[in-house]
Amino acid sequence: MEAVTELKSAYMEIFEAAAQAGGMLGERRRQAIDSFERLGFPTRRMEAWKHAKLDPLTRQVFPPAAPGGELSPAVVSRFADVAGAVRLVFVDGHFSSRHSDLSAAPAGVRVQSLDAALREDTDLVREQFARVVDVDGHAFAALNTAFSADGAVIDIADNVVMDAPVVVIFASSSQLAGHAAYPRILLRAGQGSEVRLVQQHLGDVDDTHLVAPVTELVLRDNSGVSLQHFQDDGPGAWHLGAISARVPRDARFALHTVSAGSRFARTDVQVDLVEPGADLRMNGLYMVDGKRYADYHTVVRHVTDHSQSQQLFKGILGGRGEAVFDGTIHVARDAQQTDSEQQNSNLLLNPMALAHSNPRLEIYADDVKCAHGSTVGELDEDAMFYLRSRGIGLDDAQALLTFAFANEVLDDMIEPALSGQARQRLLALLPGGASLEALE
Amino acid sequence: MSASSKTIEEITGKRGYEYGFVTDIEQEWAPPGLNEDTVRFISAKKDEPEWLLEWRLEALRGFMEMEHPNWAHVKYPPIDFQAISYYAAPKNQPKSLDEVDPKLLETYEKLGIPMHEQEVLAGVDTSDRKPEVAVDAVFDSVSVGTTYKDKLAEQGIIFCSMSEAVKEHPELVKQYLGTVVPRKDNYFAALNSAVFSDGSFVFIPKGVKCPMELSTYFRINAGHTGQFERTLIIAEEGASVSYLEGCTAPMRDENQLHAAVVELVALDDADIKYSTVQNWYPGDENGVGGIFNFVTKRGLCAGKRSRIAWTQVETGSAITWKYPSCVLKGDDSVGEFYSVAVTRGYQQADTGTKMIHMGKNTRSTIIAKGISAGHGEQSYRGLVRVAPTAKDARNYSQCDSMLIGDQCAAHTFPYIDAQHPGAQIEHEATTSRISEDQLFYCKQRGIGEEEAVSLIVNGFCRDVFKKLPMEFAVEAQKLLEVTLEDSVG
Repeated sequence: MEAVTELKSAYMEIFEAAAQAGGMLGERRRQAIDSFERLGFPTRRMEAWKHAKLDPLTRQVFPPAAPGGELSPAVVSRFADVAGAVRLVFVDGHFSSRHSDLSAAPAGVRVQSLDAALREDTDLVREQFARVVDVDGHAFAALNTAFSADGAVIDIADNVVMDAPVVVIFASSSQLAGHAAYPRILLRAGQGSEVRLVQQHLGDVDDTHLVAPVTELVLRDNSGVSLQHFQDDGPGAWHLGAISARVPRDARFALHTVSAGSRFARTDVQVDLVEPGADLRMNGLYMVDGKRYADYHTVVRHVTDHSQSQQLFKGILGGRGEAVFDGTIHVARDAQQTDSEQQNSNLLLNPMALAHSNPRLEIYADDVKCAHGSTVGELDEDAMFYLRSRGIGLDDAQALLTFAFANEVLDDMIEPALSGQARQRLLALLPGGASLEALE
Repeated sequence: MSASSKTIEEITGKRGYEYGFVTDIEQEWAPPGLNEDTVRFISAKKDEPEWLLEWRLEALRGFMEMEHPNWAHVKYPPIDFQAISYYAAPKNQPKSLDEVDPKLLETYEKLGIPMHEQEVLAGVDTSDRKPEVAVDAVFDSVSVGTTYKDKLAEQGIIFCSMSEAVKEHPELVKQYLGTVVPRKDNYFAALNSAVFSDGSFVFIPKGVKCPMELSTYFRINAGHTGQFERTLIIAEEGASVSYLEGCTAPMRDENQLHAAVVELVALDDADIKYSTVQNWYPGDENGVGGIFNFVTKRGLCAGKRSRIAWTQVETGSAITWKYPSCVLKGDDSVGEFYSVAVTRGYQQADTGTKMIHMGKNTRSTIIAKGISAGHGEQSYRGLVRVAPTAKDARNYSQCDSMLIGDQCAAHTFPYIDAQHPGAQIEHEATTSRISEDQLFYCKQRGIGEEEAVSLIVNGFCRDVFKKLPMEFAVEAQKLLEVTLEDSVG
């Protein structure tokens, strides 16, 4: 117990020493560090964190990484390359103008780094920063809010339909070892606007480090936001992220997420469907092998009537990997005519892999259509037999079917640059992946 | 006005709880309070051996160190464990059925429980009567009588009260007590282990198929008390038994605690079917009074090809907190759970099951149907765990909820922890209400609204009802009708 208390104070000390308490966000940051001080790191005694072994995070203090980290060429080569896109690159949480390209921003779209936005005192940051994410209930969102030195601030004016996506890349340099990065995105989509956002986490750092990103999305009526989220941090990463969105009248939010990297990765997704016509589509793929851990906690709250949500999460677990899918659908008393669906399927490739699936329905309204399903299993015997009877070897057949299983989710990733990388990561996981790759 | 909105309006109507009477009988009590003296008092009353007293005291020490669990999706005021009397029994303890206080027999008569075996044994033609059912009747803290004991004994079957088993078959009790639900398994199991009073003990020897249904009827009568019964059923190799359990309590403004523990052990090829119709007093229409039903039930499929099936119809209790579970240890063993739970008025239920797959080729099925009406709040909570040793384990779970009215709630919290690639686990859950279309269809064919609702609800529960023994299935269906009467038009 004492050790934990001591650690908490260490983060408080860093906060106070950094004098981040000033400026426009001073008070909010102060509240956030107070929240963290109160919450502490989650323990396994907490229901929502009972599978999370966070000991390495509590054993040492991770001060925020300094600017100036150099990316390895291997990491740079993995940048999602989308023609015509606005690109913001952050190294260890700090904006890198060298790698970024903001010139492609069309009229009505304002893209800046948080640092720049703070200097200009933009109303978006003043009104919405730390207003969507649950700072009081999520220790890592609180840490991020207290420490995020920089991030992407994207403001889309009413009725602007963007052709090319906004690409935000958070990459790690070797400087991040033993340190923490706090990537941040704040996006507002104006009325009737349409935007695609790519959030890519990249790294190749082997030593233990903390990446705690927060993404806040504010949608206005009848807007459409598609977030493509690809987590591929380095083998030493402890990635603890939060994605939060509020979806109002007739607005559409789609989240496509892939978790492929990190030693430990958890993303908490919270979406509030607050007005009639709000629509959520969410699908995810998580892949673990070795001793890695992946975790998605989703909370979808149907606050009012006539909103709908659809979720599909798939997991592929090899080695001694462990994965958690915990999805709550909450239908409030007044949320009549809610239509909500959730499906989680897991494929185990190894007897030592461990899958946890906890779909939850909390329903307080009677005129609703809600369903969830969850499966864990191995590949379909008949399909295997079919392939093998046609002369396809065991490994290849397994790879083919596993690939097909995952592809349902990857197909929804619109940017080829991202889905291609996700497919590569998938193939690397499969024993027969190499020959399948040759097929492509 | 639409059919269902009428239904909703009527849902708050009063329902008669027909078992709410109190039997006026002289009783003796343990002074309220929970401490070592209480445990010693109970143990002395029951004339128990030293090892059992020690066992109880250890459980009490465990209980004192535990914290009240708060993870269940139910709300209730803190329970004052010191205000409860942990032992209440009719003063005149009968030696045989003939000596049972007529008032008690009358009570069971009123409840529809057959306590007259004489007639049947004397050769009266019973072909037009209900089939034979052996009954162990538990009244507050003690068993007041067990029927058909002798007939069962001819085949080596032991069916008696727990207190009697402790005296007559201490070696069996010692061997099995607490092996499935350890003393300190959880908060309420620890409490039960410390103060358990009576319950049934069933032992089916090797190769014996129990010739009749065994049944226990639990009745809480006294006020300011709780019932803490403990049931232990052992089926040896190749044995099989079907066991029924029913329960009622008087209507009172206070909340009474019922914290039972049931342990089942099935050895190789044994088959245990355990059915419950739980109809404890649910409290009045404002949610005052009613039983807190905090029960730990667990079966161990210890042997190969053994099978344990839980079937429950939960209509009573103010709060139900109950997860009849199966530990599938033996290879090829089977666990089943069929449940219908109804919450109405201000009832709350957090119920479900756990299926722990350890052996190879183990299979489990979970069918849970929840009906929530009025201000009822209901949760299905289940765990399916597949250990790395459970090669080719299979599980199928289906949880359906039906909501009647817009003030009720239904939740589903399944947990799946799978660790063997050969495991196949499927879970499905849906939530719905009685649709206008269904009602319209029935009504235009001349079926009245009340009947139509009853038809639809019964259809919704059919998968579970057909798993109940015949006798019980009829009772359960009636109970459901009575329970939802007034509430669904």
